[in-house]
Amino acid sequence: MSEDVKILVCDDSMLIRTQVQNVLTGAGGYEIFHTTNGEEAVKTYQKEKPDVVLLDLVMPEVGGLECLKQLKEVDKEARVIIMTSSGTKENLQEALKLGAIDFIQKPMDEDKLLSMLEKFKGR
Amino acid sequence: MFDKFFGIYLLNKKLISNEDMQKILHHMKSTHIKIGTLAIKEGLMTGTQVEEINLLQRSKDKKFGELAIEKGLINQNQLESLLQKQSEESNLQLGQAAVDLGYLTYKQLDHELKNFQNDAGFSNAQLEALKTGDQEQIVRQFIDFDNPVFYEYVSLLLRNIIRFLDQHPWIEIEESFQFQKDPAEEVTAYQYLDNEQKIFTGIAMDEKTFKTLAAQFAKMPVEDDRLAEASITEFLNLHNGIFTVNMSNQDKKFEMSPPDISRNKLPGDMEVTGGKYQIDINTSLGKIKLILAS
Repeated sequence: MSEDVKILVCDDSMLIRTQVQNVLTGAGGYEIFHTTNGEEAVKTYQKEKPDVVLLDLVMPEVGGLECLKQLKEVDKEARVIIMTSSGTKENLQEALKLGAIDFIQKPMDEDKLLSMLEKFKGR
Repeated sequence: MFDKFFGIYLLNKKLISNEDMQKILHHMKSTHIKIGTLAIKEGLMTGTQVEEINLLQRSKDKKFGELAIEKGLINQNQLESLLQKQSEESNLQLGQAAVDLGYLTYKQLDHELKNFQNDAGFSNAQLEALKTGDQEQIVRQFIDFDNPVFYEYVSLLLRNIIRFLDQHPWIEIEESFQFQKDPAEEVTAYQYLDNEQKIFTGIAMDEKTFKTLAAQFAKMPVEDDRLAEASITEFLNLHNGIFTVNMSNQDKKFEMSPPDISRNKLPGDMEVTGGKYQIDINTSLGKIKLILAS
């Protein structure tokens, strides 16, 4: 039996964290870690070594792009999916340049989120 | 859209209250436009004649159309044309609902529809905007902003309210949309957008509306205050995110600060120097006060 996929969710919105938790718990096969800011996300990443990070762009203090940069410094193989409602061309290009592997638009489509994460099962 | 602004017209004339309007909007979902109402709209019958036929219907087991023909008020061809229109017409739902709920008589509906269409105190451009239902034109015709991006902001907010919260938002048309005073006993979700000029965006509402809209947006119960706050701030954040993308496509760059909550007052001095505006947006779930300043 394969192990659960470890997901690190980093979003300052309790609503988004709760919604992601509900969707992934409902689907099963995921272990979820929550953080509310960029700094916390980097620390949790180092400790838990998640398979995927779901990262918000707009957060207080250390924002999403800065957090992505720090995660890549910690682990250049880090797999980061950006969750955003403000996907301006510049922000998305910058995130890609920094090594994000994908984007998901808020409000998140549950099926889309699950199909994005499904491929990490059994790795 | 014509319907909604006929409602605003009735509100402004104090023929119905905000509470009545909310009941009407709920009732509209199940309202069937009656032949008499259509006959008034088409100028085939007067409100008085429709009320006479309605009275007759109470004592005779006959359809409205049959009685109207018997009385020589309309002919068979006109009735058929009205029946055809009945299935197509949606503009009159609000008036019909107001009559069904007893807020207006048919005679008043007849009078007010004519007044509204002829001269409701709107300019030609305003009336044209109302008839076409173009949200952006409506905002442009009724509100005088000192910051041009606010027009697009309000239109987009109305569309996002329809998309995520409520099918029937309507702006209260006021003489002035200047910001009046700090909202007391209210919760305000706010967020700053930065470019060369800082923009304050806020949505304020009473506690009950706050909880109701929070549950609607979250699509789950939100008994926990923090979750309700997270839901409303996320709605604002989402709306501002879409606004920022739209602006970016027009080469106007905005950076969003994280949204926050303030209770019973606005944060600080709102950190702005320009005009401050308040636009009251009613929904069937309660009133949202949009506060914009730059």
